[in-house]
Amino acid sequence: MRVSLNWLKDFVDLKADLEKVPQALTMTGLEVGSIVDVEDDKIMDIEITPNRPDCLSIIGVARELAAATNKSLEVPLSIKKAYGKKAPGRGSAKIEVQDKKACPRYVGCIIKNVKIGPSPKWLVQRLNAMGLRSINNVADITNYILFETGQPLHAFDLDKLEGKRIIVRKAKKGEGITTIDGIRRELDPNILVIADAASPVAIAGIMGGKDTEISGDTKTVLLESAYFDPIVVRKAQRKLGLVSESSYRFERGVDFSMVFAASARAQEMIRDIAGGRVSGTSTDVGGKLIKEKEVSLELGEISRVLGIEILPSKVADFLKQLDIKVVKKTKDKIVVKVPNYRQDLERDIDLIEEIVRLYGYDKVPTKIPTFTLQKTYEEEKKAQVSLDKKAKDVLISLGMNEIITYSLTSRFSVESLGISFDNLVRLENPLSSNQEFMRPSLLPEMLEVVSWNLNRRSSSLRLFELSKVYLKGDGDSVRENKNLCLGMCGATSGNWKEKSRDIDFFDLKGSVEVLLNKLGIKEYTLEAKDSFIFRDKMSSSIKIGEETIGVLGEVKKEIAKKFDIKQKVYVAEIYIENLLGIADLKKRFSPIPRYPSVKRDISILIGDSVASSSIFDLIKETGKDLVKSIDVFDLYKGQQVGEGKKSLAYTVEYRSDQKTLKDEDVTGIHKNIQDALVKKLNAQIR
Amino acid sequence: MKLLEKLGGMEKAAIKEAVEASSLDDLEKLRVQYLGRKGVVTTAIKGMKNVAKKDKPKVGKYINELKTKIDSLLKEKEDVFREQEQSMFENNDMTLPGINIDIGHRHPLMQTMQDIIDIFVRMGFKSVVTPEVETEFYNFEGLNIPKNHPSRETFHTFYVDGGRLLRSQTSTAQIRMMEKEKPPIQVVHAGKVYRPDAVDASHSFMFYQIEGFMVDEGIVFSDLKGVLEHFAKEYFGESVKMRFRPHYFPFTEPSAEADISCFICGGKGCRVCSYKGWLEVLGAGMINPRVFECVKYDTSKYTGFAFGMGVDRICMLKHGIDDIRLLYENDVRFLKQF
Repeated sequence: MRVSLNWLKDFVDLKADLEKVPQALTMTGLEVGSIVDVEDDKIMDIEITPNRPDCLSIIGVARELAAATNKSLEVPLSIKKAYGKKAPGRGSAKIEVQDKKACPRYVGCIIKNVKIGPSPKWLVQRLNAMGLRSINNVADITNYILFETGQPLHAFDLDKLEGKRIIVRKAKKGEGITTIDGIRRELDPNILVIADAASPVAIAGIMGGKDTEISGDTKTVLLESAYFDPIVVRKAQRKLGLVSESSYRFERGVDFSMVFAASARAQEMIRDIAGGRVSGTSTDVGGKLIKEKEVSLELGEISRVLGIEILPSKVADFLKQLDIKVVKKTKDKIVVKVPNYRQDLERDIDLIEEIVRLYGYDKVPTKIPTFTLQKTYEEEKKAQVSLDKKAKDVLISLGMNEIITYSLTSRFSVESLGISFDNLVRLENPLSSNQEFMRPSLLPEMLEVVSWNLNRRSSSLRLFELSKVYLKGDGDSVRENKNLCLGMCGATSGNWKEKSRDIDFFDLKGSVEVLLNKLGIKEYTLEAKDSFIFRDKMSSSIKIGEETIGVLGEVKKEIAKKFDIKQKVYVAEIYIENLLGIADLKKRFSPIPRYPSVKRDISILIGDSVASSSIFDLIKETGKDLVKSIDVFDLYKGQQVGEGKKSLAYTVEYRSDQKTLKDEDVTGIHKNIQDALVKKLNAQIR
Repeated sequence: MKLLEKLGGMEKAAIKEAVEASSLDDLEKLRVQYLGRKGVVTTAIKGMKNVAKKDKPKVGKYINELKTKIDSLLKEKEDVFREQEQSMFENNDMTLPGINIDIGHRHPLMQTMQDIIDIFVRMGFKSVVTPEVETEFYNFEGLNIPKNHPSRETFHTFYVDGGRLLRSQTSTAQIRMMEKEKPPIQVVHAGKVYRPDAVDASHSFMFYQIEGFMVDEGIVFSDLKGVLEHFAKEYFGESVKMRFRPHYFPFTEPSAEADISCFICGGKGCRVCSYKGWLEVLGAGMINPRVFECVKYDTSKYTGFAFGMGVDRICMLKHGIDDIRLLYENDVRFLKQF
């Protein structure tokens, strides 16, 4: 809320410490944001928290400031005299309130012979300071009072009211109104309206109607000051999508005791500025004295919550500064009456906050509590935390960059990847169709990020994300599972010593292998699998036993295209939560081999359809325990070996755990392996 | 023993010549001269037959030692020449760039989150995980944010089909953990939260928060200040000051916002702190007894504090990032800076 410093000065004596005002307000809970100089005034932008509707006015802020600086508050006499009182007399305005729950109080007052015209300069200036343009003197006065007291007012042209009367009721089906902003609005029976004998003339607490507004030839004004139920106003406001300075205050709750006082202040100003004459007395429907709420506080609670001792006399002083009256006092307990405008003060803890606010948060000393020794993570989450951490460490050491993407995705992405909509979690109120679903997979966002970077000429990417995916669970529950997604494209980084080369499927596969290996997963298989997303023969699922724990492959060209990716891109998604209980991060040392190993090469020519894995298996099976590792160091396909053939070269490492292998031992085994390859896989030794 | 004297002279000459040799060719000549078939040492060995029998062992040993000595001297020198020769064909322009390896990078937001969690875990907080898709109760009612209350309006919320919602704050963990466990409770909880705010330089509909809370007998406002000041100094540096201002949150009372003195300008005022000298970093307060009543804790026995902070904001402050969208665009030119 904008607050003029000059206006504040009307109510609090600020001569001495003008400079300290923002600081004083901020440190008692009314945070001053920006301060702007306007002519000879300073306009502060103050954040008013939702619990303090009483501060949505200059007087309200002045009251806080007075309390914070222990000064007295001077309110205009007309307000002081009428505050908390019912309007005297029977009232001359004809007001009928049909819905007393939605409108517990309505003060109406008729002012005759007003001369509508421009406002005096000082009034225009004050409204400008609040960010409002001047309209005419009467309308300006109602706005002025709204800002000064926090009580919204509305002025009708009485002569334009059918039957010259006011009826407060719910709108009837089919009724509508053109509001002062010129917009036609349809109403419904949940919306409270101010009506004349015929039809609605204002939406209660929100905005008045065009037809009955004050105009240049208005002679008689009906001035409204009322209390409307906050929930009724909020619902209407939401229904109509219409927020005003009035509705903002009504929905937070205005001061019931101020309803007549604000009217009295406005009557005085209209008389002085627009030359009107109040006809008879104000009609005050529902006006009554409000009994102030009593709240009790055990004094020991103050130190139990704050950790500091505050003398009872000091406590009483702070409460007094806030106009909170102590009505009963014993050694350990006080009972207080809180002013009606402080609806937020209901119980002891609310008073403790008031006390420490005035005591000063900064004066409360700091200490460190005694902590109880406990576990770092919940037992059931521990394994997941370690697994996530290890996986990230491994991937980063493999040169991959961590990304974070939004959990919300579009229908387009889901469709592009051929994911079924059946179990998707859909938002009821998405911001845009780009974020309509909770993502069932990390792949779409990975492809988006790849695309983003490629379009910005970063052509070689190695990325990963470890985050949640979401699918419908039982009933209305949602399953949140952690997945791990890897994405690669482009080329390896070359330099003046080594040439760069294209990244391909085997780079991705290698990263997955290192990852699984480091997570202590040895027994997994990669199985070729048809996929909607991946290119034929470059698509694989990762399996442990019968369970699929992930997929990897080269994204089909037509799918990549949908994400505006023109080059080859390789992605993997691993259901990392399914690795819990399988992954083994316990590292047990195995002794460094005592005996040396011997390496021998095998070069073969073999049918192209023979899978590398079957050659590996055969070498291991034949060489038994003595074969410690097998590396492929060359692969050739082409004219030199002929169609349907490939040439492969392996290095086999032999070692015994019992002795140093002799040359003839190795030659024997190596020969057996070569024979087996020839016999069983129809290989030619080269 | 004239022979020995002669050999001694030969040794001196050989050392001198070897030291003076200036090329591999010189060395080869010396090798022939001393150790070749007709070399002086070889000749000396041949002359052994004329040595008196009693002197033979002594002279023999001397000659052998001399042979070894000259041989190793020449080899040493040869290594030096060979290395020099080799380096002529090597890249010896040290100003060529070194060979770099592409290393991976942790996302700065994750790093920030981990660093903050670690500080609280070291103090004794337990790190927990709770669901992102929540019920109204855990996100609102349990935290003293009733329906139709103005305070609810500050928490714009995404709803999913079926009535659940995407949590708009990590405070949900307060209710979840207090339902599950009895005091003493010391919990830190980090994760994603969602609010339907249009994306711009300072808003995102998804961001990260960290919530912490502690409940026990005898927990007071001073403890809250102490714990958070410790955090601020650990994370932002020892010279950072912290101040607490009254504020409002439905689930804490008294409530506070905490600012740290601007670590860019040291509190003098700069662009980053909008010339205020202070940076708002978190919200906090004593847990509202209404929240304890929701989880059926004895309010006359237990007190507690809670605090919450935006990880994105802290990450941006720490690294001088001026647009929150950078965190979610994942431009590698951004990621590789951390």
